[in-house]
Amino acid sequence: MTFTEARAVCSQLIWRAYDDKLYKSAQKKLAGELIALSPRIGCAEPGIFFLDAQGLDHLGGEGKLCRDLLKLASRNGFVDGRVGIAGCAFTARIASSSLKKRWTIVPAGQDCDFMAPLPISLLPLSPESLANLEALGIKTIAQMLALPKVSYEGRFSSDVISAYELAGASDPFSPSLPFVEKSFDVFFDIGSALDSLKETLFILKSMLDKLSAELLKEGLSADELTLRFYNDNDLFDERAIKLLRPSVNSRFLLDVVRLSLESKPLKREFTAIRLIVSRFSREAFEQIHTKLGSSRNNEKEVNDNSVLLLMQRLSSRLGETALVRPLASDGHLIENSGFWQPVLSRSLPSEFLPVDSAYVDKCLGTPGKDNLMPGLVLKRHVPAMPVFVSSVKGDSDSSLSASHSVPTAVTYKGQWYQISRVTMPERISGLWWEVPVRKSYYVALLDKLSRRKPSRSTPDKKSDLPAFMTVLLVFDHQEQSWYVEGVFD
Amino acid sequence: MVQVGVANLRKELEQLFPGKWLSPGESVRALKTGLSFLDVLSPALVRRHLTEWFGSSSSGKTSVLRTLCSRWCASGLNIVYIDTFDRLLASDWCDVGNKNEGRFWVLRGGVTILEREAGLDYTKNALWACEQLIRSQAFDVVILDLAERGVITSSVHARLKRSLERSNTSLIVLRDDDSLSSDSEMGKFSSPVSSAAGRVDFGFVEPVRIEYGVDGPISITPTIRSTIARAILRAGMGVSGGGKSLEVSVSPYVSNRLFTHPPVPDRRTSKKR
Repeated sequence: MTFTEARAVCSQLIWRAYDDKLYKSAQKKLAGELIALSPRIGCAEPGIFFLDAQGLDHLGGEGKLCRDLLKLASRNGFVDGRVGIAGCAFTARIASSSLKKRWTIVPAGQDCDFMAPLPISLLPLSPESLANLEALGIKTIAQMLALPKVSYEGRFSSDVISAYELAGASDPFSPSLPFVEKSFDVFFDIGSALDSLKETLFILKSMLDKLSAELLKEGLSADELTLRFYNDNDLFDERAIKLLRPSVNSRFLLDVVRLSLESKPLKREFTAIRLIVSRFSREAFEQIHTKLGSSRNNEKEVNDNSVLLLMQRLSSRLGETALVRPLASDGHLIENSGFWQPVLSRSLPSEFLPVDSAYVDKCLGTPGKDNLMPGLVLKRHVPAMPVFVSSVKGDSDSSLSASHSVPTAVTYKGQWYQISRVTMPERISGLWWEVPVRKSYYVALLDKLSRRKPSRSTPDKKSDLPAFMTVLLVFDHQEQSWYVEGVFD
Repeated sequence: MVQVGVANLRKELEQLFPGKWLSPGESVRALKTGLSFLDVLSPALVRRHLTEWFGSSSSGKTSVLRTLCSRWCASGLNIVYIDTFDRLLASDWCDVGNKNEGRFWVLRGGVTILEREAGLDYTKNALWACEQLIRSQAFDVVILDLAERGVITSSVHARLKRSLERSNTSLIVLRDDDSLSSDSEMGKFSSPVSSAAGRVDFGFVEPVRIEYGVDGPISITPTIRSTIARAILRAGMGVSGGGKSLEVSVSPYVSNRLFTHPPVPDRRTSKKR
C-alpha cells in the first residue's frame, strides 16, 4: 500500500521517516529497565534483547521471569512482547518468534529437538544458499543436521557453515554485564542573559578545559561536540560540531567552537549552556620519526597537520563542501563534463563517468614550452545573463530572440555590441528524461570599436567593455531565448 | 672598503638599469613560471609578496594563470584558488594537479542566488579564508579572485601582508576592471591594493586565431597581451625604479575538446538541416 492509498483510508495518518537514533535510544532505555530482572543483558537489532535466565530458581523460576518481563515491557509501552527461553541465544530467539504463545520455554538440553522440525528458512542464510539447499531436498533443520558438517565445508559459502552451527544449538553469543556508559557533558547556568561572543567564549573555555581534563584522564579524544543554548529552560539553539580528527586539545576545540559561533551567530541571548562530547574515541598516539634524515617526512607531517586544522576551520565557517578539487567526467554537457568534488568527501556524483585520460592526452598532445593550455578559461555568469541579439546589420532594434539565426549584434550589460566573429554553433541536447536541454553554443567575439550607435532613447555613455571580449553565447531552444553564459578570460 | 664599493656599484647599476637588479635571495624566492614572457627579465611572482593580475573581465589572465597552475602543480607546488563568486567551471581545471603531484584545490564561495541578489558581503568570507590559507603555510600559491569587487581595504591588506611575511606563500589577486582596460590605459598603475609587489596587466588584442571546421569557424581565440609593471615589482622589494614595462604577445594553442565517446549525433531532422 502506498502512502497515498493509506492516507485515503486514514486521513489522520502521519508520515515519519525512519530514525535510527530514536530506535537506539528507546532500546537503550528499555535495556536499562530490564537490568532489574537479570544482571546480564545484550541487545541485537532494535526490539531484540537477550537476558541471562540462569540462577533464578529461588526467585520464582523461568515462568515468573517471563511474566515479569512482559509486564515490564507493557509498562514501557511495548504491549506485544514475546519471550523465549532456551539453552542458547539463537534457539531462544526462534522460540520467542512464536505467534501463538506469549512465552515459550524450551526444556534444558532439548534445544536440538525443538529446532529439528523447523524449516531452514529460519536460519540466517543468503537467498542463494537457501535455494541451493532446498534444491538438494534439505527443507528442515533436522535434514540439515543429518549430514555431517564436513559435507557442507568447501561446497557452500560461510553462511551455511555458521547456520549449521546455530542449527546445532551452539550459538557463541551470550549476554554480558552492562558496561557503565561514559558521558562527558557540562552544564553552566549563568543566571543572567548573555549575548556577547567574547563572554560566551570565556565561559566555553572553562567548560572545554574541564571536559578536556576528563577526557585525558580516561585516555579519550572528542570526535564530536554538541552545544546547546537555553533561554530560561527554553532550548533555542543546538549545534553539532563534527571534528575532522579526534582532538583533546582544549585550545583547538575552543577555536572550532568559536568558528561555529562566528559563522552561525546566536539569534537571541542565552542564560545557560550545555556542552556535550557527543562522540568520542580512544586517544591515538603517533610515534614521531626518530630516524635521522627523515626531515622531509616530518615536514610533510607538519604540513598535513596544518592542512587538517585549516580544513577544520574552513569547514566550520564555510561548510564541508567549500573546499573542492576538479574532477573530469565524460559528459557532453558543459555542466557534466567536470565536477567539483569536496576535498573532505570521497563520494562521487551520480552523473560521474570516468575519463580515459590516456586517450585524451594522446589526442591533445603536450603544449609547447611557451604555449598555454588549450582553450580559454570560461567564467560563468550565475545565473546566465539573458540578452537580446540582432541578426541583420544596420537594424539594431530588430531583436530576433524568438527565432534562431546566427547573431551579428548583442546587448551586453545594457549596451549593443557588434559581434565581429562567431563560431558555428555547437548543438547539444539531452536529459529528455529529466529536464530537457536543447542548446546551441556560440563563441562570439564582441568588438567595441565597431560598436553600434545608441538609440535616441538611451544616452551615449562611455563603454565599460574592453576592446575585445570573448563570450559564450547560447540559444536555449527550450525557452527560445538568448543568454550569455559566461566570458572567456 | 670593498663592501662600500659594491654597495655604490649596486646603486649605480640600479639607477642605470631600473628593475634588473636582483638582491641576494630574491632569485630563490621567485616562482619561475616556465613562460619566457613572464620569466625573461625578472621574476613576476615572488613568495611572501602580493602580485596583482589585472585586466578586463575577458582579457586572458585566468587562461595564463591556469597554465601556470598546471606547471607549478607538476613541479610539486600546492595551489589554492579562491573562487569568490563561483564562476569557474570544473571541466576547465581538470588537467591541473590531476596527477600525483602538487595539490590544486578551489575554495568556492557557495553563495546562493538569493544571497547574491540580497547583496550579501561574500568577499568577507573570501578574504578571511585567504588569510587562513596563507597562515596555514600549506600552500605555495594562493589565488584570490575578487572579480569586479576587487577592493581590499588597507586594514585587510595589512593583515594579508603580515601573514605573507610569516609564510612562504605567494599571493595573486585577480581583479577585473573593465573601465581601465583600453589599450592606452594598459600598464598604468592604479592598483586597488596599495602596495602590491607586482602587477601584470592583460588584454585581448589582434590577431585573432580562427580554427575552421567543415562548416565554418569552430574556434576563435584572440591573442593575449600581458604587460608586466616591473617598476612596481621592484618597489615591493624595497627598491624604487621607473615605470618601464614589458609587453609580450602570446597566441594560445587551441584544440577542440575531446571526449572518449563518439561525437554527439546531430539529431535534427533532414528537413531542418
